[in-house]
Amino acid sequence: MPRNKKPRRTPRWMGRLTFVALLLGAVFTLSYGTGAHIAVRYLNPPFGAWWNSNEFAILECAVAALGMLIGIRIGARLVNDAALKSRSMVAAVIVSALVLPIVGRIGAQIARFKFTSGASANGMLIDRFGYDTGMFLDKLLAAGVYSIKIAMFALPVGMILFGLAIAIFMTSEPARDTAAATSK
Amino acid sequence: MLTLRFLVLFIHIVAVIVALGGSLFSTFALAPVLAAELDAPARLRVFRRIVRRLGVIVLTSLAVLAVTGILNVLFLGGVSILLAIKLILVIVVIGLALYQYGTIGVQIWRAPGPGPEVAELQARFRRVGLTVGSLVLLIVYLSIGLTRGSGAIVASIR
Ligand code: HEM
Repeated sequence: MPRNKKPRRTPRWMGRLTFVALLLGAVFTLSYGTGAHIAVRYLNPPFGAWWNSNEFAILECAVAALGMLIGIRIGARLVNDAALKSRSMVAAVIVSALVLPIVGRIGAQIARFKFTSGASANGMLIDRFGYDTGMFLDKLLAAGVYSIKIAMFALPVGMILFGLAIAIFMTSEPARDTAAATSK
Repeated sequence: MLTLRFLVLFIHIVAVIVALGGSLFSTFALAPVLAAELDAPARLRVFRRIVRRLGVIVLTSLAVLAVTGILNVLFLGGVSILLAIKLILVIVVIGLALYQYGTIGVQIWRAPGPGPEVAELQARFRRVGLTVGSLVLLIVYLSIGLTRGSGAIVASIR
């Protein structure tokens, strides 16, 4: 007997894109936080140099893409109509890809701002784990928080790009008319 | 007086007025008049047109708010807990607006004709609209604290 499969809530391509953004974001955040370019340089000096000079830009773009994709996915969950949803998702992803460098750059600039009411974890980590481990963990934590902040600012951008696509497609579709009923 | 920062803040505030004003007008002025003056099929027809136009207006002004809001943060040069709370509320508002127009609105304009289901959808559309309006008012209140009071990122506009 054929199994009754539920329709997928998110298309497979969207799942893959999110996975790639998540993977790149995690790898480059860890690499930046731990200074892993030194290990890459040791194995392959030219590639290590390239890695070192580009890891920050890749990190910014990957986490901004992740934030926007999550925003688009959240937006898509709130829309019921399958055809409208999938058209809007495609349009929003294309526009997101075009604005990705700008969103990544601005997100990174905002993420560098100090939290006016923020406390530093540096002292606590050094107290608990000793100087070397504490400093290492502090840098890793800072890289993680930095990435999360960029993604947090990119999320509403993705969501609203999806919203704009919905608005555009909504107007392009003719409304079913009740004129016949009223003119009788 | 005429700096880029002022211009961006001006557009930000105009977008709030457009988003909130349109929703308030349709809920408290237009909808009651439609209900009193038109029969069910004509009311539905007009309501459908309004849902679509208002959807475009509200979603576009939310997009303008997001873009100018991010530029505002760049000009201010700081982030606070208040701004983080505002950002979370903005995400909730965008989500609710998407549900209001992308799900309930679409169902209303695809409905074959007037009936109890459509009336229920219209009522739900208004309820969600009122929730969005109230949250936007709350965001406006929080926003005043971004540059004033103890939660201020900077004391005032330079
Ligand atoms: C529903 C969405 C939004 C509403 C209703 C809203 C409302 C407002 C209002 C009324 C002001 C003026 C406050 C004042 O002059 O004291 C303001 C300022 C501000 N908004 Fe928004 N906003 C929204 C979205 C955003 C977003 C998404 C961001 C950032 C990501 C943002 C960041 C700011 C900042 C930083 C200021 C202070 C600007 C300055 O004084 O230079 N807003 N907002």
